[in-house]
Amino acid sequence: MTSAFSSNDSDVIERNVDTVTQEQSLPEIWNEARCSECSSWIKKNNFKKVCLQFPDSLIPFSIEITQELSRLVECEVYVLGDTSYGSCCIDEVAAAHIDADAIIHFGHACLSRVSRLPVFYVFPNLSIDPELLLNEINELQLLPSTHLLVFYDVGYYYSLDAIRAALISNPLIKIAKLAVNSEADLLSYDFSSIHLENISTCLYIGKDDQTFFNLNISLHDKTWYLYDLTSPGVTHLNKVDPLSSNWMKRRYYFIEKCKDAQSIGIVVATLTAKGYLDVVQHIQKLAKIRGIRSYLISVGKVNPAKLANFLDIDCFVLIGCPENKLIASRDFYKPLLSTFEVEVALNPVWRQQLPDRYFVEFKEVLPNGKFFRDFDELSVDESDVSLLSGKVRFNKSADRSNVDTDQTNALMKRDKFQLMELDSHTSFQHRSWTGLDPAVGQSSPVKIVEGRSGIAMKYDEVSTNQKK
Amino acid sequence: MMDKKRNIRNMSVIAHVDHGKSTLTDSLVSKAGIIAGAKAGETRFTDTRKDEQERCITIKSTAISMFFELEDKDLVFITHADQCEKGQKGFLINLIDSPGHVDFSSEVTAALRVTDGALVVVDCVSGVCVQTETVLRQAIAERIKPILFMNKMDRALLELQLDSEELYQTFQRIVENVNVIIATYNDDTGPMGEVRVDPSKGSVGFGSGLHGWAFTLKQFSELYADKFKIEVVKLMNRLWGENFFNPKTKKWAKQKDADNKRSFCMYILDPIYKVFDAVMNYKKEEIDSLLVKIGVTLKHEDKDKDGKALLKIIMRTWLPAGESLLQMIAIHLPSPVVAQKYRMEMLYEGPLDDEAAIAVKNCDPDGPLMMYISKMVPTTDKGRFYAFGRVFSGKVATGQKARIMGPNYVPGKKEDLYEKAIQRTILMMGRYVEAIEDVPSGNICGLVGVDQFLVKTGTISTFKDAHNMKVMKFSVSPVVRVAVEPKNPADLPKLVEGLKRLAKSDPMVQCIIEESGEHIIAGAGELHLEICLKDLEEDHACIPLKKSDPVVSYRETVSEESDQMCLSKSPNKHNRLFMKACPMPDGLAEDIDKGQVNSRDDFKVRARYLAEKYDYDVTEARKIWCFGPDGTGPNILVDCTKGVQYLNEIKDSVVAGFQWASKEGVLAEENMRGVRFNIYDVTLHADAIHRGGGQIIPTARRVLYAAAITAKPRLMEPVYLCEIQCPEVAVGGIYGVLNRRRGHVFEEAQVTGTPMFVVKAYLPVNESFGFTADLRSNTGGQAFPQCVFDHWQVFPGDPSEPSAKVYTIVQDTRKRKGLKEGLPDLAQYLDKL
Repeated sequence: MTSAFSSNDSDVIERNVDTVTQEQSLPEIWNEARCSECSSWIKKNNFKKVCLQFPDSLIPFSIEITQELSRLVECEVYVLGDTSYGSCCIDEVAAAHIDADAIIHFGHACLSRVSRLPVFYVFPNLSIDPELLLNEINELQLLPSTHLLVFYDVGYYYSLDAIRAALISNPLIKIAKLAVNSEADLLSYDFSSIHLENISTCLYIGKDDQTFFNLNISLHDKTWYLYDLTSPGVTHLNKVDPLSSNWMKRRYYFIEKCKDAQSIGIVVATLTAKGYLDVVQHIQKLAKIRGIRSYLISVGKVNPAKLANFLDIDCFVLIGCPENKLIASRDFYKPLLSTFEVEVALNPVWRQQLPDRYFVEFKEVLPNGKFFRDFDELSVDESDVSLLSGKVRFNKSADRSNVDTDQTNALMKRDKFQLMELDSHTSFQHRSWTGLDPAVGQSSPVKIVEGRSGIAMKYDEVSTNQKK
Repeated sequence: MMDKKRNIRNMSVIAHVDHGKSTLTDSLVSKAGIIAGAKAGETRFTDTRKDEQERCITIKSTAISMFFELEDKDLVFITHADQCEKGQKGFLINLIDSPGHVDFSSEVTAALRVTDGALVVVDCVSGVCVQTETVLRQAIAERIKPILFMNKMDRALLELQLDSEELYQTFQRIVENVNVIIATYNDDTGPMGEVRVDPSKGSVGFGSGLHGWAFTLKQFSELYADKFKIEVVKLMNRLWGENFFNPKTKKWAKQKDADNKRSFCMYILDPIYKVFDAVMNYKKEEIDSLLVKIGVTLKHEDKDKDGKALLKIIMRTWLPAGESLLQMIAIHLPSPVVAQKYRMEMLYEGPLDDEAAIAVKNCDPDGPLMMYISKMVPTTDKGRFYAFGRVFSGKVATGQKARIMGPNYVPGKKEDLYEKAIQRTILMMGRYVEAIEDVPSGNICGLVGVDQFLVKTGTISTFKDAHNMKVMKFSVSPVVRVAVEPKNPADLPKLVEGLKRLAKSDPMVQCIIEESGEHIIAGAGELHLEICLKDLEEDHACIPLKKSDPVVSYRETVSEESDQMCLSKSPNKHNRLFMKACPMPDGLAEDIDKGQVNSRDDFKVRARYLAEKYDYDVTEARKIWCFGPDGTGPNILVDCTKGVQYLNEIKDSVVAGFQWASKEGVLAEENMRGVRFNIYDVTLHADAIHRGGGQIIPTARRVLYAAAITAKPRLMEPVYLCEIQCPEVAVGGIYGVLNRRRGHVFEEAQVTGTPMFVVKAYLPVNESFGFTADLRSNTGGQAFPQCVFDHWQVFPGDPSEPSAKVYTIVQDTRKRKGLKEGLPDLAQYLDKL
């Protein structure tokens, strides 16, 4: 019977699981120096419970590292794995389960600000030959007056001194500072000592991934070069066009879609990043003045199947780490937008103009952020034509008070205290299936029997009547 | 004046391109005293745009309101009580001049909706053309009464030098052709009654718009009535058709004899011929004696003129075009009171006996307001529009609060409904507007302040339970598209704003943003797009634009039934869907397009229809789950399962997946067309939470894609029906051009009585870019094509075959949309059991 509904047990055993190729070996991420840094940090702050957070790729080394570390310090050491929202972020919630004092994060990190716990980062240690890099830069033959700013993957954090030593000969080359212990100005970098407006060319050491992309579009008016050491064979600088225009165009389509939306789902994909609750409130406020229903959704790890369960939501906004790869995914049934895009779509200030740059971090739309624009609730009372459906798009909340509804009996008119008429039920009316048919009077009464128990994959069928 | 609803005539001028609509309209405008008589025919007052004047082609329809007085002797011809208020000589004519080029037929549709009568202009040299037929057909379908005008008689006389009998035959043939078209689309026993045009009744005019003269049989018979001592009406009958007069015996006859002559030629054409002959051959004395005969006295300064200029003066004074047109319009076109009686049921969506319907039927100015907005006219104020339309009942006034209902408004719901005050009401006077306090029923006017609540069309009412007025059906569809982007990326918001304005200002154009992020403008043809782009660049967005080459939108279809049962599993592997795809029988997709078969039909009626016409199994046909894309498209999803548990629980999810897949097909994410998907089996997890939308929607999409891939997918392209007029020598050149462009000729015929040939051909839209120019260069500029979208046709070749042309098209489309190159792999969508 079960085989009709779920696969055979043997399938699972025989299934070929794709093994993850190990990117790094133990010495690359863990050595004497790291070990002593960690232990002294713990000792200095006198932590009692410390969590070690590993990305999936480093989980195999967790035992060794834990053992080594617990020999050196007297605190309890826990291992955190399978992080819900991306292993680059700090999983404070998991740490809170054991009431930990501090977290040591291993592997690639996005350095998002953490609000509750002290964090110590252990980055991967990638090798680089600074002399080769210098040669490459010299080969570019940049104008003598152009300032060059070097960005790098967190993996080169430990080689930074070597790089700095090699590049110091050229005064026009500046190196960006990773904001490991300080407030970041842009993404994970601290620009406190650098004047960005003097810089016309940027260089990034690392892979062509989301991190690079985010930097790229955040500073799209610069000329970008990529120095990629990880892909075999490529050891020279590549010029990269800042705005990969197709990608940006696609985002505009989603922004337009968001303007059309009747309901919006705010997907919380972080529980740690500073200010995420403020962003939620900000979006809820925007939605309210636009007359859009907003739902707050928290589903743990976000995937297309989970979001598709919310059939009535027209578009989702993802609040989470800017390095989240979900935004770029095409698998979602309804569009998934970043906070920035929702801001552009819903904030009436952005109706007549588009911002000149793209912000990937959600904190920028909040007050004090570079992108924050206050809006006047009255200014939204303007209609618009949708470029998707060709229909008039008119502010629903402003409109509702204008339509004279005294005929419908749905609400009582009372000055200023008018009740808002909810039309959320209307979206359910066109559904063909509206729940189980109670079939009252059509089925004869039966004795109550014990149902099945267990998990959906395999029910514990011993006690069910099917066995009888 | 506007309150005298029986003395109002709302009319449009319709014709084939270059048959002289705007020129003829000038005659009326000059009669109303708006422009000088001498300038009439050259000003083209209703061509208000600069490019219209430069290209000598009307692009936008233009409305103008004029006031005339009819003489008492002509008033008696108005017999119907509702056609004239007692004792009122004045008539208000609201005229709309419409474009003739097929690319702008949407403007004609919009004009027809708000008028009751149509002046059909036909060039008597080229005769009835394709666009004449199209617009006439549309007019009849909208229950618009036509009258006919034979234009360009000066050409027939001066250039072709036809003798009078030949000219009569030409006229006779055109009248017949027009009546054949009318008879095809109108039922004489229908509510409009007989609408045939008949010269002997005075509903056909003859003349020359350029020279500003025209006549009807009525005018001539009035001249001769005293002489023959016959009543005017009787004489009119004698002056047309097989009536011959023998001047010697003074006897009328029904047959042609040696010594008698056709009355039309003798009494009407001969005098005209004489005048032409005398003037053009400089017979000074003869002119003077003729002038006395026809009762024309020339003004002093005109006496020195000769040749064409003199001819124009004489003819215009003798037979002023404005006068005869006015008579035709006032006598033969219906007043709103008459017209709305039979048009109401075509116009109103709601019950035909509610308050609004009855008010419309009676054209009641005291009833609830019902107004239809047929188009938006740009104002001098950038980005704002006048909403132009017709008041069918009630009164629309400045400051009045009204309900503004968009085309998606459903009574009782709030969607697309706004209640706002009307800022101003205005009269459209061609190039000018005039503010006016209020406008009662039966009139055409513009509104200020409602443009932001409507995109293109809508209904305005004060009646709470009013339904919408029916939306207009266009005879063309937007199949040609270009992508635009600003030259400077920072101008994007201006472009978006401009696109929105463009979408409003044209009844047909579609401005959309595609999933790839491209901004697309879709229009009816190349010329239409050219004008739209120009407007966008110069008026609406005011920024320099980058335009892509025109591209065609394709459709995806399948050519066979799937060669295997396709299975896809849900992400959690607990649910399985089994489906197959197969092509629809020929004609079904078109039936769905036309609404013959649609989602709102009763499923039993629909199943019977499908079973009878397309041999569908009745039980299966009853279980059509849905149409798609957008719930109405020409693809269907059929439930062929037997006894599956929980099936209707996942129906919504499968339907959602189907809408998704049919909107973005598997080959190049184009819409699907003509595909029937059958669900054969479904296995589902016993727990509702494991068969939710999240599991089923993506699975449904995957299995639909797999079914489409296994059913030999094909691409479909739009095809134009192309009519080309040319002299015989150029026909060879046409064939050459068409062959090169994958077109084929299916009809070739000589226009009787002329040396012109008409070639009809099918031409893929894809190959039509630059066709007009190519054709002209290959025929020495003698061939002039008119192309209109006709049908979809399967693009020859297999899209999976890299050598085929269609493969390149699919790849180009994928590239444009930012999809992965190559074709999607079946293994991506198909799962093993």
